[in-house]
Parts: sequence; C-alpha cells; structure tokens
Amino acid sequence: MAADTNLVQRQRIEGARALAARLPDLLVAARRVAASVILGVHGRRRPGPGETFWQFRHYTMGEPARRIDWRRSARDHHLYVREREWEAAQTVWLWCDLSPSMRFRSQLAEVEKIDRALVLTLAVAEMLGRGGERVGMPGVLAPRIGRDAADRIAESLARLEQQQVLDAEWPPVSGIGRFGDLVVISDCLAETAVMRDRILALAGRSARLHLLQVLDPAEESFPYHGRLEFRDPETGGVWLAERAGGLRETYRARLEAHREDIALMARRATFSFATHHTDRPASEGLLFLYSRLAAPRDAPSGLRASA
Amino acid sequence: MIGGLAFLSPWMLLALAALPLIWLILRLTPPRPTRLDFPPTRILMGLEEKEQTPARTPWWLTALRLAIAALIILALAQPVWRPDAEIVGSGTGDGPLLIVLDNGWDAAPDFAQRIEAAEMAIGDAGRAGRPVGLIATAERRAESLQPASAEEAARRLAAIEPRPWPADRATAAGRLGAAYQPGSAEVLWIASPLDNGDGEILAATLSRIAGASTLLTSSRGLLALKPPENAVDRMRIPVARLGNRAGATILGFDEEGRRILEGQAAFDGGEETVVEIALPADLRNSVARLAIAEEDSAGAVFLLDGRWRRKTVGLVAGQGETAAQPLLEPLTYVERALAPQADLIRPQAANTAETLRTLIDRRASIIVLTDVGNLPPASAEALVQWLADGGTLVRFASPQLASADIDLLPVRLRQGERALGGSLSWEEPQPIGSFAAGSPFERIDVPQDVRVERQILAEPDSLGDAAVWAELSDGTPLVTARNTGNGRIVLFHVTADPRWSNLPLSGAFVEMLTAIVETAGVVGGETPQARPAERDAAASAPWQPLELLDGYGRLRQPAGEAVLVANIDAARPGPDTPPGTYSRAGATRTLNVMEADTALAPLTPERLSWSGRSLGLEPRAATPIWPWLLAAAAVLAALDALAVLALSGRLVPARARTAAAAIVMAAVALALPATGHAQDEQADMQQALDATLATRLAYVVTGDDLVDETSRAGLDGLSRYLAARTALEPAEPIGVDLTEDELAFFSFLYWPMSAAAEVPAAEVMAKVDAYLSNGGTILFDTRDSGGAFLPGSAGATQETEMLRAILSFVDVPPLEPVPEDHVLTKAFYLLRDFPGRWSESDLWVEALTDAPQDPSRPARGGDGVSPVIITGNDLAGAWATTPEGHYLYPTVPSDPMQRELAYRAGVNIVMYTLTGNYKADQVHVPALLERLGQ
Repeated sequence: MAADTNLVQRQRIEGARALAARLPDLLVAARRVAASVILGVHGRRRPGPGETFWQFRHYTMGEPARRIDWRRSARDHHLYVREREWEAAQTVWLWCDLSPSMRFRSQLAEVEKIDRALVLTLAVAEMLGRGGERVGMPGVLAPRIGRDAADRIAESLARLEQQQVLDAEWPPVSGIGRFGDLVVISDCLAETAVMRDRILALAGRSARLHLLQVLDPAEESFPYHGRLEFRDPETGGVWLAERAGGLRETYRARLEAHREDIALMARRATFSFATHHTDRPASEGLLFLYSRLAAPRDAPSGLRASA
Repeated sequence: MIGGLAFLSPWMLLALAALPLIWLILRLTPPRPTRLDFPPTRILMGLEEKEQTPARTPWWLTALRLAIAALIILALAQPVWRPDAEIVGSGTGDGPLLIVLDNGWDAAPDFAQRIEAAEMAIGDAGRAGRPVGLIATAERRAESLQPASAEEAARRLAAIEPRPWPADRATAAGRLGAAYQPGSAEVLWIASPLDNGDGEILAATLSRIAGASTLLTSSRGLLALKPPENAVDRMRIPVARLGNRAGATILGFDEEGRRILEGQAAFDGGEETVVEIALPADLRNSVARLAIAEEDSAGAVFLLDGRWRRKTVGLVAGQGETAAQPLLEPLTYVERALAPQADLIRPQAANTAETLRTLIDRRASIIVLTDVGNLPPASAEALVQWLADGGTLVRFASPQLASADIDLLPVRLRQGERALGGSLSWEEPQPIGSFAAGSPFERIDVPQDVRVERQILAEPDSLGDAAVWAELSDGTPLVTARNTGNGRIVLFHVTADPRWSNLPLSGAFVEMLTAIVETAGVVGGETPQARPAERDAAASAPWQPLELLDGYGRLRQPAGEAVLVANIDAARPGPDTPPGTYSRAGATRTLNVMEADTALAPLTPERLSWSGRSLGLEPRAATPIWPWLLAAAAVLAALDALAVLALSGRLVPARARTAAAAIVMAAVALALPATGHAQDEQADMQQALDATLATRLAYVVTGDDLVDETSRAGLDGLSRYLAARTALEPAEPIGVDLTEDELAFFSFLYWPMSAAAEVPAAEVMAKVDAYLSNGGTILFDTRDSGGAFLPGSAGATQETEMLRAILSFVDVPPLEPVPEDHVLTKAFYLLRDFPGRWSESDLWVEALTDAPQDPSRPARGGDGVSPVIITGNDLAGAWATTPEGHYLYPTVPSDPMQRELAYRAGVNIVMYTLTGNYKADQVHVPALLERLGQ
C-alpha cells in the first residue's frame, strides 16, 4: 500500500505546516489558560532554601543559633527564625503527542485533539517557567530555567515541524534522569502492550510520569450510524461497518477496558493518569497536571482522576 | 396500434433490450459507504462483525430499479390510448361521400373536434378513392357542391370557420336537393347542437340523397348569454343552456379588455338562470362586454352599448365658485352623492352660458344647476331643446331662483323664501313628510333626521302640471318635477348645500339623486343643435361596423367586407349583418347573437326523425398514457431512495421525531396569527379609546429613541403649561405610529425630523396626506435652527432634507412665514415670533389668500387651519421637562424669557389648531356689541 503511505505522509507534512502556523495562536491561548490556573491555585509556596522571605516562626530548641533573626527577635521577648521560600528548581520534561491520530475533530468538539494537547503543553510550560522550574522537551529542547519556557517550546516545535520528524507518540526517555517529572499529553490509543512497555521503562528510571489522555467526545460516545468505512489516520487501515450504530456498546466497552489497563499500570508505577475531553475547558486538564506536579513526591498518585 | 394502445415513438421500445445490461450493472454495484477518518479504528479492528456486508444488492432493490428503467423507456415511447371509431361506413362501395358541416356559432366551442371528425372522414374516403362533397351550412355563398377529390375537400375544409350567426339549413337543403340525385351519395352530417326550426327540412333532404347516412352530434351542451338587465343596484344576466351543463362563470370586461367582474351561474333544473351581480354603478357601467368563461362562441359573448351605460351628469354652479374650501362649495354634496353613480362633468368655462353649451355638446344626460337664476336667452333655448331630446334638468333653490325662466322650472315660484325656525319665526324647522307614491322616490325610506329651515314655495295653482315627489310634513313641496318633451325638470326647493336644510347631509339625499339618475333618460343620438335637415341626413346614413365578432366570440376589426347596416333596430345576426359594434355619427349600437326571446332548441335525432346512423362526436380523443408512467417511475424512484436509506441504516427514528416536531411547529406557527390578530384588534381599540377619551397632544414616533423621548417630554411640559395657563387640560401626550395608528383622532401632531429616521413608505404618506387634507395639522420641526427651508437654499441640514423628502409626498399648500396679522400671533398670547431652543427660524404656515393687510382688521385667519406648520426651532426641546418639572435642555441663548416665549408659542399653536379662526372673528366683538347696543 505504497500509495496509502504516501498519502498519509503527505497529509502529515501538510498538517505539520498548518500546526506551525497555528502555534502563535495556541501560545496565546495557553497563556490565558495558564493565567487562570496560576491565579486560582497558589502552590509551591513552601519554606525551603531560597532567596525570598517566606515567614517568621518561633525558634525551636536545637536549631543552630545562626538562624535566629536578631532584628526581629529584638522587638519582643521571643526568638524568631526567618524562613525563606523554597526555590529549588525541578526538572520537568514535557511531551505532546503530535502524531496524525491527534489530528481529529468531530462535530461534538470545538478543537482538534492536537490543538488541545499543544495548548495544555504550552500552558504547563508557561506555568512551570514562571514558577522557576527547568522545563525541557525530550529530544527537542534541553531543560532550562526561564520565564520564556513556553516560547522556547513553541519555537522549537515550529522548527521541528519543518523537519517533519514528529511522528512519535512517545518521547525518547533516554535523557530523562532520576527523579525527573515527565508530562505526556497523548490520546494513548496505542496497544496495551506497547503502553505497558513504555510505562515500565519509565518506572525503571525512577522518573515520575503524568499521563493525560486527550480524547474527542466522539471517540468516547461513538455517535455514528449506518454503513460507514472507518480509516485509521496513522496506519491507513480501513474498517467497514455495515451498521455502525450496533457497534457502539462493544466499542465503548473496549475503549474503557483499554483505558482501565493503562490506568492500572500507571497506578502500579505510582504514576498519575487522567482523561481529558476536547469539549471541556482546557483549564480542567491543566488543573489536573498542576495539582499532580505540585504534589509531594511520595503522595499517593496514579489514582484515576477525571480531568 | 394494439387494441387502441399506440406508441408515438415506438422505436424507443428498442431500449428495452438494454434492460439485462442494466440488471447486471445494478447487481454488481453495491451502494458505496461513507468514509470517515477515525483514530480509534485500531480499537474497532478486532471487533467481530455480526452482519456481514452483502456482496450484492438485494434482489428486490434490483427489481425495483429495473422497473423504474422499464417505466421510463415505456414513457419515452409515448404511448396513447385511442379507442377505435368508424365514422364512415366502409362497406358502401365507392360512391361519393357528402359531408354536411354545421358552422353556425353554436358549433364554435368544439369546432376543432368537428373539423377533426371531418378530416378523418375525408381521409378514409381518400384512402378508399372516393370523391368527397363538402358543404358548410352557415356560409353565405355556395362553393361547388359537386363531389371533388379528397385533397380538394381537405383544402376547402381547412378554410371553414365557425360563423357568428346561426346555420341556415333550409337554404343548404334547397341547394343540396338541386345538386344531388336521390340515393346518390353517402351522407355524413356533423350537426351543431341548435335546431333553428329548419333542421327537419335538411334532414328530409339528406335522407332522400343518402344511400347510407350518419349523424354526428355533440353531447357537450351549449351556453349562451341573453341581454342583461341593468337593475338599480345589480346587473342581472340571463344565461341559457342546452344539455346538462351544471354552471358557468360569467366574466365582464371593460373597454380596454380588462376583466372587472365575475359571477357564477348555477342551473338548478331549468334551462335558463339569471346571474345577479351586485356592483357599484360605476363599475357596472364600465362593462363593455360580457362573456362566459371557457365557452368560445359568439353566443356566449354579449356586447353592451350606450343603452346599458351610465348617465353623464353635468354640474353647474352659478356664482361664488370661490374654491376656497371644498366643504363650502354648493355642489360638493351633489358631487359626492353622484360620483359613484355617474360620469360627472364640471366644465371649467368662463361663465354659465359657456358651461351649459359645453355640457350639451358633450351630451350630458342630466344637468344639475344651482345658484343659477335667470339664464341668457340662448342658453335657455338650448336647454329647452335639450330637454325635449330627453335631458333631465335638476335644479336647486337659491335666492335668485325665483327670477328664473318658467320653462326651466317645474312650477312657478313665489318671490322670496320661507324661513322656518329663525329668530323672527314661530315655526319649527320641518321634517320631510312623505315621498309620493309612484314617484321615483317611493322606495326611499322617509328620513327622520332631516330638518328644513328654509325653502322656496311654489304658486299653488301651478302645481297642477307638476308632480310633487317629496313634501314636508306640512304639505309644502320639497321636490317637484315636470316632464317636458322627452325630458324632465326636477326642482329641489332647498339649496344643494346645508345652508337651508340638512338634507344634503343625509343619506336620503344620495338615494334621491340616485333615483333621479336611474330614471333619467338618455339624450338621443343626434346632437340637439343639429337642424332638422342635418338630423334627417344623419338618420339616413348607414351604420358602419366598428368591431365584429367572429364565431368564437372574439372581437376583430372588420375586414375587407364592408358591412353597412341601414336599420340596426330591425337587423338580425346573419351573413349580411354580423354581430358586433356599429356606429353612426358618434352613436354606437351593438348587435348580438342572442336576443331576449331567442329560444335554444336542441337538435336531436328524434326531433329530426333521423333514420340513419347516429354517433357521438367526443370519444375520439386520444388519451396520453405516458405522464402516468413517468409519475409511477417517480414514485418508484422515491421508494428506491427510501430503501437505500433504510439499507444504510440512516432511516432512524430520531430523525423521524425531528421531522414530526418540525411539522408540529409549523402547524403551531400557522395557528398563531389567528390569536395575534385578535390581540391586534384589542390593542387598536385600546389605542382608539386612549386617544379619544381625553384631549391629548400627540407626536409622531420617528424611531429615533432620543428624539421620541424629547418629543414626549416636550409635549408633557407643554401639557402642564396649558393646564396651568389655559382652560385646556390635556391628558398625557401620546406617541403615534404613522404606519399603524389611526390619525383621525388628533387635530394636532408634532413631527420632529430626525436624520436617523427613515421617510415613511408611500402608502403611509398617503395616509398622512389624507389626514392633512381632512383638517389635521402637523407641526414639522427640523430642530436644526432652520433657515434653509426655501427650495434651493444652501446649507440644508440632513433634517431639512428629510423634511423635503417627506413633504414631497404631501399636497403642501403655498407657505409663508407667519405674517404679523396672522391669527397664530393672537390665538392666546400676543406673540411676535415663535422661538424654541433656538430662536433664528421662522414659523412657516399656509399662505393666506384673502385680502391684503387691512389695518382696520388686526387678525386674519383664512378659512380654517394651516395643515402644515414648519419650524426649525426645536420647540419640544424647549418645552421638555422631567416629571419633577426641571427643564431638560438649555435654550440658546440661555434666556429664561426665551423659554417662556417658547411655551407661549406652543400654547398659541395648540389653541390655533383647536379653535381655528375663532380668534380672528373674535376681534369683531367690540364692533358687534356696539352695533347691538344701538
């Protein structure tokens, strides 16, 4: 099926160009979403090593005396310790699935899955960048600190789009170090076995994975009737259904089972997993990612959240 | 042809051979599925499919499609159903065939069928090599009667047309009897439905000639119009029928051929019925031609001439035709009463004598004279002559009437008039006592509300010659009449305007005038001035045809044949006098096929004692079958579409529900307007009550919210001012929507111009024009400080342009800035100018036409109120207050006195519109009092 492959390839190139053109708009949308979440949740405000003042607290016996803030303590009869905000930078890797299967929009949704995924990626980058984290993209962008994380990712993506190498659903995990956080936004439609391998590989590196599945509502509810020929945009494979309406229950059961498998694997590896639909506001997905990223490392995670 | 079934394009049937091919193609091509990109196809991939794709289309769908294809091919072959018919006996050897074709007017409606039958017979004879003789019974002259070749007969047949007169069968019988030996030919008589009494003669002759004979008659029936009667308020049109026609539609056309009336005739058993069409006289009188719809014959057409037409009425008012105010003109009421009944002529001549001569020249049937006393001798003589010719003279009393010529009055009159109910009289105003029996007024109900205050009296001894048509309750005559020559003189003993009585205002007046018009004669065809010798010459001239009817009842110009008719009254329709319109010396007369006493007698074999074969004419029509085949194919195609939808699973109940909901919605939407209409009526009534139960100032809603709110606040402020300073206490101002609301309730409208508003539609402006001409006043305010009102002046603002656009729809009188002595300056306050928020603009009103400024008379009002008042000073802006009484807008310049003057201007304008010129007359009060005091 050389013709089909060519066709798919050509579609991908065109789609990549269109995506590059859309990136500035998506960046703006991402900033807006990030702003709403940042205003809503003031996280990462923990005492720790850092430069900025955080709070005074009473001196407890046993602490080194040099920690005492004498200026403050002189004002009454207690001893105070000046605490600073914890500013240790963390490395967060972001990955957005740009494969052709993401380029799908039904009549039930406003945007394509890829647009939503990109918005979420850039919003997370923006948020983390402002929070002073190191943000990177495996194989695309080395992690760096800076408030312009979203811009840099968008730039790299645009450059990369022109090279048309973004077929991968899954990031190369070789560069991800121990205790790194990896955010993957994908439709997770790969076979269960493939997903298991990927998750196990990450678990073996002691990295933390935050997996957000982005689905179109039509993929969830299967609102089709009649004689239809379904075509897989990635492989070009075709499936002919005589009465698509009759397949609905079976399909939904299978999709649910597939998702349960991924969720179970993620839970075992203490990874977080959630599903996000493109007919819902993007801030929902961002809120999930944010809460998972801000959670302590040893907090129970991987429970299936609905975002 | 197989048993009556024939194909017009039989070669198309070859396409049926292609059906197996179509079958193969249909079997091999299943319907194509819709392709859809769907990412989780990978999840679907493993699904086992319970229903497998059928490799081929179901057999019944294939059959359905084959049927559609077969039907279309059959339809393209154009099958028709044509039952066989043998007209001419085939076994009669090769003797000649004689075709007798009736082509009188009664054959016209189905003449094409008759020709077709004749053609078929000629064709059959031609194929058999028989000679054919052909005679048309309504033709004037004989062609050769001898049998000729079939081609020759067909050529002659093509030239035969139905004639607008009855067939002359007796003549035809005589000529046939002379031309043919007994038993020498086979006879085919294609007979028309009417027997004019000579059918039997022809039948006898034919049976003598015929070896074998066939009579073809039509069962179609016949409809004919008889002379209509122009009754008082309706037209009665008798319609006669032959056969079993159930009804007919009668159409009336005017001179231009436009259809102006329509009536349904229904026969219930009888052979004749009368259609009654109630119509206003003017419409009725403009009918020039009556016809029966879808009955193409000369007998179904009736031409109307002057004898059925309306009367023309000339109106003459002697003096004082000032034309200042239409309602004060003496002939207004006569004109209004007669306008629907008759043609009114009001010549614009220099004097009465001239006017009368014009009217007589134009053959007025009725002349109404008022305010005319003595006439110049020449005019009087001409009138007497006109009366002798049949004119009707209607006169109304006036002070100078008593000096009139006795020849032009029904009675001799006493000098002076009798006043009833005045300040110097003890008599009460008299009601009408009775209308004389036998007079034209006898059907009129005696009105109870008429009061006569003044009348002129007749000398009692002169009443012998005259008839009293109406009298007052004390027995004195109100209307007298005298016949003179062919004409009549009618005298109303009161004036034609309401000065002497309120008779002209009553409905009875209209009925009385109508009755006079109905009973008036028509002035003879000759001009009254013609001297006897000329008249004789005119009478001896022949009538020339203007338009003639053909056999189908169509009007045509007279062709080469010059048909001159000497005595039209004695003429009957025939070859020499075809029906149509004839004229002589300006008079027109019509000659019609049917007359009042014409009877329609059917021609039947029994009546003729016909011994030969007798056949019907109709059943030879070929019925096309292919439209039905096409319709069937379309229905099957629709079924196929449904089947395809069902097969692909797209025919789901959800859609059906949506469709049902849509239908229900549509039904509800259709039902809604009924309730909406009722609400509209209620709202209209409420608006009418609001507008009339209290005096209100009103403004025109322009659609510009700010302007409308300012208008409302302004009129509200003015209403408060009026209530505080004057006896007028207006209720809340009201906004008027020109398109919907009734304007007649308001004597005064404030109409601010807004650049944002739109010029109302033409019909709305027609309403405004009617409002203005019927006494309403509109104060137009351009709110732009004015100045550019004069046409062509530079610097016109958008508002002024708007005003120009609006006034272009309205009959605007000549305008002038308010002169110093105008009643507007004195209607309540003494004012010099009329400021609003601005003070630069003049106030423009209708220019006064009466005498120039007379220093002794400080105020002039003209007769009535200026319909249009224009300012640019933004009056409403100056008047506008909040409900608490604070002014909304500053005046420019900000001067409290200017505000006060603006209010005073408003008061004066309102007082002027409400009281008219009352204040102008008020200035005479001191003089009157002084005179009374003496």
